[in-house]
Amino acid sequence: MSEYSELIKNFSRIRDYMREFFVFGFKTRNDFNQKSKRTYDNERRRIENYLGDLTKWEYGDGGKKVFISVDSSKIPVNPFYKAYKSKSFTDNDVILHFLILDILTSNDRLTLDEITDLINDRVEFLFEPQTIRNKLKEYTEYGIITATKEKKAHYYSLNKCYFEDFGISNDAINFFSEVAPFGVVGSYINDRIDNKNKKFQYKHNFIVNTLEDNIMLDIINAIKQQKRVIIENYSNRDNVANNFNILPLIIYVSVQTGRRYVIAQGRGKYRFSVYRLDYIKGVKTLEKDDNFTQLKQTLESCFETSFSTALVREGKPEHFEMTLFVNEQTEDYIIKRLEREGRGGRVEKLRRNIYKYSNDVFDTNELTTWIKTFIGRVVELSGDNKKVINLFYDDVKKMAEMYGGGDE
Amino acid sequence: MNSLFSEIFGCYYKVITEIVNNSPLSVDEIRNIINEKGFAESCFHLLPKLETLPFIEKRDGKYYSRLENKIKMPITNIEKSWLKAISQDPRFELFAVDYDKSKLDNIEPLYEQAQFKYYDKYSDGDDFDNYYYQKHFRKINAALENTTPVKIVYQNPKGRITVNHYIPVKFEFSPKDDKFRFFAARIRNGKLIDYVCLNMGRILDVRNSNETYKGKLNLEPHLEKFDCEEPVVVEVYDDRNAIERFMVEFSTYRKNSEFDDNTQTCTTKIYYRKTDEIEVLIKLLSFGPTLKVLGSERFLKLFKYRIKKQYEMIKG
Repeated sequence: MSEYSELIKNFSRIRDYMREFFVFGFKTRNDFNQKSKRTYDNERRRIENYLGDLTKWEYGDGGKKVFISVDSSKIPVNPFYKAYKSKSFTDNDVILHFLILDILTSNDRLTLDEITDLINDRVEFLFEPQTIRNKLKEYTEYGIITATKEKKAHYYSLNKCYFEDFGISNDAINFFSEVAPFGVVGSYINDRIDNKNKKFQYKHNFIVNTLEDNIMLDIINAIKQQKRVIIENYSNRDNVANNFNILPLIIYVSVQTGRRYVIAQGRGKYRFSVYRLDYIKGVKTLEKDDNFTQLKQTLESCFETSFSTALVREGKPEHFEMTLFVNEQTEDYIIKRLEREGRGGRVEKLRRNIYKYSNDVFDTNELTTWIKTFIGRVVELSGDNKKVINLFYDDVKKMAEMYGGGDE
Repeated sequence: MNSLFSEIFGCYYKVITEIVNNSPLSVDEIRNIINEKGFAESCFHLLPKLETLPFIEKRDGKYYSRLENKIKMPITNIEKSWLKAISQDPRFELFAVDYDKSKLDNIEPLYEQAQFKYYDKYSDGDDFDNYYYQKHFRKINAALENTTPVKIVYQNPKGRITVNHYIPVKFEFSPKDDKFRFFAARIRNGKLIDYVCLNMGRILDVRNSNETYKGKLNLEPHLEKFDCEEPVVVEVYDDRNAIERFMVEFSTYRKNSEFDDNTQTCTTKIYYRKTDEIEVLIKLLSFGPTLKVLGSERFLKLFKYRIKKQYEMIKG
């Protein structure tokens, strides 16, 4: 039985537990039955350690539930970044980190043998040159160290380049570390320069998305190189893991629902397939695919007739119209809503206080959630997809029944 | 090495760096550093580890660094690539005062803007490229930094133009709205009048102000006034994947949920800002009959009113 450690080797497990505690927050220890109870206890303890007071617990009918409770508009820094700062390391890792940085601060450039000698002078045991070479190689790849070859000797020097050299403001790091992709990288910089956010707060910020950044980075690298990948896709809905060989084209983000997707060349009858990033557990990069550029162009053209993720169907788009009652004197914000939220739809005034929104989309079904936000003012729906239109009317009737026939 | 998850960015390395750079330190001083910068149990794990590190020496009850230098880790490739990526963001110019673009010339960005599409972002977001918008933002930012009043000419949503003196206190950004707002203290004749929230995009001009204010600024109590008195309580049904959709969509709010195994329903309390009530209401409406609002009484009344109105429109 291994001893509990505050740090972790593998990010994926803590990612799963953090997401469960934060997004759902109603599961008890017994609900986490894919792993052992001991695993649950260890992960829960780590999350409590990382997030402190944001982790809460309560006893309910099903037992003790642990949840992460936070209003994302009230926190200066994404608390989930702490999970990225919990990587475990060996004694050799930490000793070599500090000794190499110290030795190369004192010396402009040194060979492997010189570094090995200087390190071994300072420790009671002896490091093999190979161990030190590996660490130097790793740090060269990180960009911390520069390796140069002169005649037959390799020289290592500290890459004396620091954040301050770029003249970028600390405010920019604070802001983009919360709103830009891979913001956790900004938080690493902030840690180093001891920069704390006091100026910004963020609304509608889906902080939990950062837990997929590792996965997203692999996909972005594949997109850059126009390479195919195998993704290990796991859906909570059906509890099944599938491996898909895909050509990723773009990251597709919903800033309203908090879902992020990768759009890829489609499978079967679909031209494009859409995968939720939070369902992807692993990415393996494969070879380059020469179809990338052409597919990307085709995808761009699909955006014009897509309201959400339906980028998959061939043929003529469906026409849709929604007529609304809007009190022009007091409710001009509704007209503005139609314009800014309508995603390419047209808004026109039919007569006093009556406005029409129309759009041509691949799948009218994608508009259903948005249409319902106008409940209370929908005069009429019409269009090619009668099923969707009827569903709206059925839903309103059901809701009226749920709330006492709407008669209160 | 392009990994986000590495010990070199880790909390323990940061704490050890802090300890060696500030040595000699007593155990208590080290504990304080670990408690401030580490995780909750880091003291327990890290303190014994320090005594085994060959570059730290414990003598006379204090911990001494045996390193010759203070440790300052250079910027890594992934950090440089991220800086390059954010430098290509249209919002970057708002912060680019003394920035030398050429320093990032030969660096490959970690990502390109074109590799992302934010498909449901509102289309009337702020015009970040606009010269005057940038100028106003920088002036507001400088005033916020220095806690100095500025005179702001502002056009409210109804088109009325106002001129007031403010000390900006905090920015708020919404990726959905694609807009900056800021909270500011309104100052008149040296007195704090109130706190307001202004849209950056509605500012017509920002000038230096001759107002002064010597008192303290405390935005938090003002914001707390907007916390809802009672949470909205909803019951979400296991239909059309609603529970999962609901939980993700409302994850930006503070909430507390219970799941009933027998009925397969989830009951959730959502805590929201009073100023966001309509936003919460229409978000909940969008879920249709896959959820039921149970309270608060006042919120339920608003919700029922909309449904009743719609039902009557359908019935004709």
